[in-house]
This record gives sequence, structure tokens and C-alpha cells, in this order.
Amino acid sequence: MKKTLIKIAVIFFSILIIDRIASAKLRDLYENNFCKHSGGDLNYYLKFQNADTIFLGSSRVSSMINTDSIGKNVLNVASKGKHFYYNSCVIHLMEKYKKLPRKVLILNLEAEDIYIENKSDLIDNVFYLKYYYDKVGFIKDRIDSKSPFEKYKFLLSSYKFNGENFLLATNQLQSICDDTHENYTPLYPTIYDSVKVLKGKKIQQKIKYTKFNDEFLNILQATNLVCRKNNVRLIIIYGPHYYYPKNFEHASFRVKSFCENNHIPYIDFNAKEFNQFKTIDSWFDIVHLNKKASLLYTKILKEELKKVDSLIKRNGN
Amino acid sequence: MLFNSFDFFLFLLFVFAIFWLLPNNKKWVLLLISSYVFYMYWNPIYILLLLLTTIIDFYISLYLTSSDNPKRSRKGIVLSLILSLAILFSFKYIGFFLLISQQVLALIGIDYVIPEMNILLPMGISFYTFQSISYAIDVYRKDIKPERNFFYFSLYITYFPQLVAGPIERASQLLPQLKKKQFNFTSNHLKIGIFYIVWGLFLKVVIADNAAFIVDSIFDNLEGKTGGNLAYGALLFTFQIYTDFAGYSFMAIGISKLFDIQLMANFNSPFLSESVSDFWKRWHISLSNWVRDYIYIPLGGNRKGAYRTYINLFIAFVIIGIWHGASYNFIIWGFLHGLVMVCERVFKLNIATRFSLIRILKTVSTFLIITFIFISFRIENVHQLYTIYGRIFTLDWRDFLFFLSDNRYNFVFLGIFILLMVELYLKKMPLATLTKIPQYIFYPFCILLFFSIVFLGRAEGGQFIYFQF
Repeated sequence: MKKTLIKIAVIFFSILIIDRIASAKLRDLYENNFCKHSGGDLNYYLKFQNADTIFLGSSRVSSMINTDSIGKNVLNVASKGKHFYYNSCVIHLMEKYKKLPRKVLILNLEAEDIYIENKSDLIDNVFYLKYYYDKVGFIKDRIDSKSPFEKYKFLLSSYKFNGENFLLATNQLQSICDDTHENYTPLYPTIYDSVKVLKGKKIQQKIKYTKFNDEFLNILQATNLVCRKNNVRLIIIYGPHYYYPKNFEHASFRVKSFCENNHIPYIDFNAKEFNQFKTIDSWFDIVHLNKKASLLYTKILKEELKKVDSLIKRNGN
Repeated sequence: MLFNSFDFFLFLLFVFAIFWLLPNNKKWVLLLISSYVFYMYWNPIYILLLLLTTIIDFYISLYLTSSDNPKRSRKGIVLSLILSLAILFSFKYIGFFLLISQQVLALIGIDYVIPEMNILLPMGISFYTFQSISYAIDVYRKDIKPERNFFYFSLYITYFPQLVAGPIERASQLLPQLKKKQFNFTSNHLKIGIFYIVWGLFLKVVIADNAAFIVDSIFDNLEGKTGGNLAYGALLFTFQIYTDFAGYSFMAIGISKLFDIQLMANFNSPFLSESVSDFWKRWHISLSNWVRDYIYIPLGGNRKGAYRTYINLFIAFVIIGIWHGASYNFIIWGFLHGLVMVCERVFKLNIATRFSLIRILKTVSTFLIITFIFISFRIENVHQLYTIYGRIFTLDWRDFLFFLSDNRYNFVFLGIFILLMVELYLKKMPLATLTKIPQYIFYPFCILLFFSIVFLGRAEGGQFIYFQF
């Protein structure tokens, strides 16, 4: 029994020592990673960039909005596959690192962000920021909301790097490091696009969203407060869709009401007046515009932002 | 509760601690309660279904032995089979049955759309139903005596380490262990248990979940994918499904070892098989034994001539395919395995040889055949299968080599290399020899696996593939 206890103690302390050494080394790798993968884009922004206006959202922002043509000092900080919960955490992170844009923050929302059916996926998205678990309270709260036991995983310091290490290590080997930090990554049309769009439509038709996620509005409010506190104007946009299910209108309506009540400008590109993207040849797949259509979208967006700007100036708000 | 979740590890730690604090005669009670809690954690209402299966086979088995009248016994076993299979059919196969009915009606010109049924598939239903059926048949055949304590029997059906994805244990093996009067805690059990748990978890979260990430990106959208891409995806999928399922089975064995209970080995280095017949002696052993004992042999096995043997093989493998899921692709998967098995028999390809080079060639070709057939396991419809096979046959090897030059993918191959090394070791050394490995190798290896899980595993990885069967 004594022997077993000694063995257990040796194993425990070995794990503890390896954990501390490994996490110190991984911290270096993580903080100096500026490749596109594994948080490198965000690191690059937090360390080297400043902007008057930034766009946040998923790949529907990074591949559909050419921020270079919108104006000077406008950056596209959106990341592929990252949705509302993640982006609201990024806004809190930017506040912590004093990297909020000087003037305007444009946040793209998706219908998927609003329904309870996707809540678990949205929380999982935040786990890409687990490196900041003990640095930003808002991120910690979101991660802890996953399960009551989540916090215990962080007793192991190296857990913060879980899931990133393949890429951190390979970035070091520099074989795949893409350290270009372009604002816009357009999707070029291919011969398969219409097939992908129709297939995607079939899949989307099967998805049934039923219940509004009440936490969504609380997080949106918290994000709004961060912007207000730092004198940053928050604008919410809802990018165009090829297929727009009926019940999405309900979600859009609730977001619109919230924005009106909180004086947040809201632009819904699925509203009737924006019918430029209803043809299949505008789309790369069911959710992404191809390059040509994305440039048109950027142009329309720019005009809409100008309208918002003049409206704000007129109202003095 | 998923074996790869943190919740499960806390649950296991709690059950393990209490188990060894309890007196011997109360330990089984804890295992029974834990098993129900484990299942209800997923979906509380479905415990009723599990309970129903348990009640049916418990009471019918008692009925089978209540008289010596063979007619009465036969009626009893038929009733047991009908009820058990009816539950399985209602939850697993009804949707597929309606789809086929719709297609048949369309063929004769009746255009009737059957409304979609969104029935949640009870976790592990195929596993516990087959386990329960095996018990009833064994009692009917008088291979075992019926269990007279409902709660012991209940524990046999619901024993949580193997409840949702096997191994499908026989009552003659598992029940006496659950009922035993003396449970022994030894450091060797702990050592083997921990090794198997960590190894299983490594296979699941490091290899299977990382491979899944790449495999999904290849197979979820076939547009624009070349033969090289798809061949690479197929290769990785074969390792994914093995490490996913074997990972679970190893963990089940390791967890049971912590409670001084020995589960049967479900895998025995299947990728080192020298023929497809050999593969089925090493892959999902508990299911292939089940089908052999309760379907293939009762049909006549290989005792009724060559042609009948071939038909029996086809029937057995199509059933194995259908067991996996209610769709055409699983039937094709089973059928292709049956076809290869028949070819091996006809051309006598499954005969062992002593020549090393031939053995290596046979192992490689068996692996490639298995990989090729496993594609039908991954696809969503038959049309996709035509597309994939068509493109693979026009494979451009430059595509394939492109993947090998990418370090991201090479890390997965490093994991697969470790897997094959351990497989080779486990093939040569039985389980018990694990305890004879010098401590300065064994413990650092376990710590290495542990940190591989922490560093490289996907903490938010998905559920085990076989949970859906």
C-alpha cells in the first residue's frame, strides 16, 4: 500500500512538473504565433494593429466584405467559423488589451446565433479563446457555463493550449505558416458552386430552429455596454442569404427591436429592399457570396454605412 | 455520458472510490445504480426502454425453464425474439422501412410521401438488445441456467462500461463476475486498468478525433475532391473508425478492470490481418462471435456444402451490416465483406502461409480491401459511393503525395505509427505481460500518453461513432 501511494505521488508530481514546464514553453509559442491558424490572426491584431473601424464576424465577413474599399483604417478581424459568442468575447478581450477600434465596431450576426439549438456550438466556439480563460472574466464565464466541471480542467495549465498544439508546432516548422494578414479573402467561383448551393439549401431546409436563446440578448447588451463605455459605436449587420427560412424573420425582428431600444444601428441585408443576391450565380455555396457578388455587397454596405453615419450626425446621437 | 468527457471521469472516480469502500456483498448494488445513472444522464426517459428489454428477457427466460415441454420453450423463445427485435425495429429501422415502402410504392406508380419520423435512437440499443437476446437463447439452449435475481440480471444488461458500445458480453462470462462474493483490489488491476483507459482515450481524442476533422472536410463535400483526396480520406477514415471504436472498447476493458471485472477483448490488431476472414476474427470480435453462434452456425455454417456456406456467409454479413444502421450503405458494406469472404474461400486465399514476404503482401492487400469497403460506411447515400469509387479509380498520385508533404497531416500519421507499434506489441504479448514491463518504461509511457491527450486531443471532440448503433 505504501509503495502504491509513493508511486501515485511520484506520478502526480511528474505530471505537475511536466505541466508547468510545457505550459511555459507553449505560452511562448502561442504569444509569438502570428500565422493565420490557431489564434495567430488575433495575436497579430492585438500586438501590431490599430484601426478606426473593425468588422467582426465569421467567414461571411472575412470572405464577403472587402474592408480596403470601405475606407482607411478599416480592418476585417473576422475569423472563419467564429460566431457571436466568440466575437463578443473578442470584443471583451480587445477592451482588456486596449485594442478596441477608435470609432466604429461592426458586428455581423447570424440567425444561428440567436436560437437555443445552437447555444452549445456557440459556447464551444469560445473554447478557441481558452488561453485567455484566467485573463478575461467574460471569457471565463462563457467557458464555465458549458458545465459545472469545466473550471477543474484549467487546474492543468497546459489545458489552455489543448487543440492548438498541432498547429502551434507545425507553425514552428514553418511549412504551412500563412502570415499574411489580409482584410479580405474572396471566394473565387468554381464550376461546382450551384451544386453546393442547392445541396446546402436542402440541408438548411431540414434545420428547424424553434426557441429563442434568451442569453443572446444579455450578451449583446454586455457587448453594447463595452462599446459605449469606450465611446465606440456598435453597428449590427445581418449579411445576405440565398435561402432565408421564414422563421429567421422572427429572429431578425427581435434583434431589430433590441437594437432600436438601445439605439444601435441595425442593417438587415435580407430585407426586401436588398434583392441583389437572390440569384444562384452570386453564391459560392449556400452561405458565402462569390468574389464578384461580395464586391457588390461591400459597395452596398458602404452606402448603407454612410446613411447610418449621416443619420447619426443629423440626430446628434 | 461520454467516456471522453470530463463529467464521466469525475463520475468514474466517484464510483471507483465508493466501490472499494463498500463491503463485497454491496458492490454490485453500486454498479447497478451507477449504470442506471450513467444511462439516464444521456436521456432519462429512455431508461424505460432499457428496463422493458430487461423485464422481457428476464421473465421469458424464467418461463423457458419452468417446464420441460419443448413446444412451450420454443414459443417462449420466439416471443422473446419477437419482442426484443420489435423494440429494436421500432426505434432503429422503422424510418428505413418506411423509406423502402415509399420507394416500392413509387415503382408501382403510387406516389405517396410518408411523413418523416424523427425518433431519437436510444443509445446502445443494438448492443444491449443483442446481449439480451444472447442470454435468452443461451437459456433456451440450456447452455446456462436462468438468473433468478432480477437485479443481478438487470446489472448484466446495463453494466455501464459496456452498455452503450459493447463488447457484447455473454451471460456465462459476465454474470458470474458481477455476482462474485470476493472482489480483489490489486495494484496490477489498477496498472492494467489505467493503461487501457489512457490508451483508449489516446486513440479516441488524439487519433480518431483529429482524423475525423480531416476526414469530414474531405467527405462532407465531395465537389471538387479528386481521387487522391478521397483515397487519402478513405485511408484516414479506416484508422478513425478503428481508433474510435477500439478506443471505446479499450476504455471499457480498463474501467472494468478497476472493478476487478474482466471484459472480453473486442479487437486484436485487426490491421495486421492476413485475410478478410482473419480480419473478422480480430475486428469487433464480440459481434462477429455473436453472429457466428446465433445466426451462421444455426443456418448450417459450413456443414452443408460449399454453396450453402457461401449463402450463409452472405446472410451473416448482411445482418452485420444491417446491425450497424438502417440504410443502404451499411447493407452494401456487409454485402461487400460477404463477397470478399466468399472469394477468399473459393480461391483459397485465406490459408495461412509461412513465407514472410507473402504474409506482408497479404496484410497490405487485406488492409487496402478493408479500407476500400469502409468507404461505404462513411457515405450518406449510394450515389456518393459511385462518385467516390469512380474518382479513386482515376486516382492522381500527385494529390495523394501532396497530403503527405503537409506537416499537419503527418502528425496524424505519427499517432497512427504509435498505434501500430503498440498493436504489434499487444499482438505478441498477452494483456497480463503489461504488468511485467519495467516501471521506468511503463509509467513514463503512460504519462506521455496522458500529455498527448492534453496537448493534442480534441477536448470538444464528438461522441463515439458506435454510440449511434
